[in-house]
Amino acid sequence: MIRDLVRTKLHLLYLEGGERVSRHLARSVFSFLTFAVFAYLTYLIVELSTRYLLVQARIGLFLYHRLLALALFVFFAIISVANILVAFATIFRNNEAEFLHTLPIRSVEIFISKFLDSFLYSSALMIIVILAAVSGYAGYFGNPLVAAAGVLFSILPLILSAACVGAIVLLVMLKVSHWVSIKTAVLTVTLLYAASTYSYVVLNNPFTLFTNVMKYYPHIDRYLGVLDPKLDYFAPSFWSANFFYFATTGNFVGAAASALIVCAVAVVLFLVMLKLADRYYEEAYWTARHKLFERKEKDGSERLAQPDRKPRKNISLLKRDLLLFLREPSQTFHFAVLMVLIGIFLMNLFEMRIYLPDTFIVSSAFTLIYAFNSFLIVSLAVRFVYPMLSLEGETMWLIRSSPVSPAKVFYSKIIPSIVFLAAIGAVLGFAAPSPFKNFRGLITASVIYSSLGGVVFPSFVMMFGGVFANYKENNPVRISSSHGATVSLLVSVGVMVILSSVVFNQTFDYFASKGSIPVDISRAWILGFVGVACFCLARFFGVRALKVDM
Amino acid sequence: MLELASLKKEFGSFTAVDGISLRVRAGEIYGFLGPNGAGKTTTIKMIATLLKPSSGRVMINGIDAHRSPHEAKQYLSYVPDQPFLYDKLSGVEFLLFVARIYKMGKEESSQAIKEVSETFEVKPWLNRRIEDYSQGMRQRLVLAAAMLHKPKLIVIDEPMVGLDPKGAETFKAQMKLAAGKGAAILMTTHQLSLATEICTRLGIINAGRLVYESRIEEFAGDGVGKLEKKYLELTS
Repeated sequence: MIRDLVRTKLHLLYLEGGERVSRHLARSVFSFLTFAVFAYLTYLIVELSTRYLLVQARIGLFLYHRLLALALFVFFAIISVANILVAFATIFRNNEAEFLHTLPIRSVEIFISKFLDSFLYSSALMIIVILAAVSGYAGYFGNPLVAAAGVLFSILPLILSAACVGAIVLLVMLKVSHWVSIKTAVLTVTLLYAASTYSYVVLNNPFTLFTNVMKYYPHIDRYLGVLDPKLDYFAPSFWSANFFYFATTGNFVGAAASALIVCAVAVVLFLVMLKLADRYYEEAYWTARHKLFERKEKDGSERLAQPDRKPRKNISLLKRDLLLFLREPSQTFHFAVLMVLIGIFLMNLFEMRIYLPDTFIVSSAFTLIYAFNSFLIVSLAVRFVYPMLSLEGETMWLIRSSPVSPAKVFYSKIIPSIVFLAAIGAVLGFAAPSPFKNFRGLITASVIYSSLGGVVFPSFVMMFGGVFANYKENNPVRISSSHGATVSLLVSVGVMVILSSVVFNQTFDYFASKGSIPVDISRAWILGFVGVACFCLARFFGVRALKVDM
Repeated sequence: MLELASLKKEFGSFTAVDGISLRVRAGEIYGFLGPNGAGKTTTIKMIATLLKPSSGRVMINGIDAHRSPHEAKQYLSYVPDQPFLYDKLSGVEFLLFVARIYKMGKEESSQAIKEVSETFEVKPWLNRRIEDYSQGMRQRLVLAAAMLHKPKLIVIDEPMVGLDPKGAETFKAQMKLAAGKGAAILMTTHQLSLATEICTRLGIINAGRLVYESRIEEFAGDGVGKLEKKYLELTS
């Protein structure tokens, strides 16, 4: 049975892939180029940063691989959280899953088929990023065989483990929601994730580790396992990084042992997930459906549904979108999580102090904070702005047959998005300079550049939302994890890198002069021009998408 | 073949289905009628094991559908009001997929696909992608897939959506034929004429409760008029 399911899925994948290339050649070529350029940039960044850390900063192989472990842990957490969200949409809240449940197929077989679907859906970008990063690593060390073995026996099992953890957490969450409310279960899981990530980062604080490792100078390439917190042994990412350390230093027994641990963890987690799915998936499916069907007594959005005294088309479109947003738990939940994360980041920024003498490092630190701010805006845009046009979906007949111009529909989506994200950008821009000495002189420039990011990115992402609009998918999580969304994320990250380099260039002199030369913001008009150009492109593709034959 | 025993479904403080008990025997076509929001689709989703009852049982061929869903579904064919189809597959690929799921052998599935595609007149379209089908053609394909494995219990939610007069005639004839061969059929519809034409028993549900059940003979003579009067009396 599972063979038939997988065969049909592969056949569909082949048909859809083939069709995508043949029918939308320009889009496919553009997507391919985007992925290729992004992969190449990742390769270059990893290769150059490895060279910088080992040759110029001379942090040594051990510390370098501990930083790698930290990065892999963050990847692990991101993949597992992404998999919880996508797995819920794919395994529990999906038309195909509903159809398969009406057929005599064992629930565990449906689970496996949908898990693989969700795994490939949510982890494709991560796999590309990691493959490119490993290539960059191999490029520096000149050991392609180690990289190939690392991908097969260290990275892929690690990604699979992360996806399994996500699915296990989801199953457990739905199981315990019998006894506690789903909100409590979600909150508990969120806190557990936040606590474990925070503990890991605190335990493996790079600055502390740097100080401790440097006590052993010049023997900093040696394996200094005594410095590792014992809790790290429970993180598969630790063993994954260890594989690379041992393989690069020629300790193949250590590398094999590390790979064995990573693979064994992946196999065990996969089996545990299957066992849990076998026992609880059917029940969890019913629980999920029950929760979805459950009518809410009051969700606080009724006021929006009241008739207007003076009805206006754009206001009614806006209210409709707001109501749909507020009544979609996956939207509100994800939005709340991202807002909390931004809040935590802002608090950290206000408490952080970066008083370093080296101008290059200080400028780089400020640029990194700016880049992270931009990344937050890009993430919000891809998650919430990208799906907006597709979400018109199969109800577009209503808009198309009504006396409403597609441009008005487009403006009702893009303008609130830009206003909101530009405001978020302004707040982040205001906070970004606070860790630095003489920060007051940076605030104006930082607010201007970050707010302009809030104009550029949603416009850019909306443009891709129009180009890749899929009116048959009505799940916002799946739309924002789709192929088109990935392309929009990658291109936006590319633009973000360019903007960050402009910011670096503009602030370097300010830091070099210790705040006496003001930041030159006269070139911000270029960014403003880019913002207007992106908006026009978004309008063109967005309106075109709303006029497509149905 | 199908037995619902005190079936109840609650969503928080809202009771969608309130203690429904009914039986559909082999050879019967049961018309499950009721106004919008009465609980018909929720009941049907519980029969198809897509929702778990808050209490009560669904028995299919003597098997508890929520304790042993896999076994129970061997006998079931469910056609929802908005069926899912793989748009990128062709009609024949979709039917083959369903045949494999029901473990039909090569010969058996080829023969069954030939039969149902001729019966529901989808044969000329079988090699085309489902995304090219009209709504009526999609409905015909779904009905063909439902009849493919000769199910013992057929549960259909609003079967006439999108069917042209010829398709509707075929559907009625096929339902009668399937019932004649011993299948039990439960069907929801808002078309009272359809109910009086092909059903052997009727049940009316209102606000989650089964408020009326009778054999079709009660409406002999001026069938639709009598049924309409009764329906409005019970549901208004």
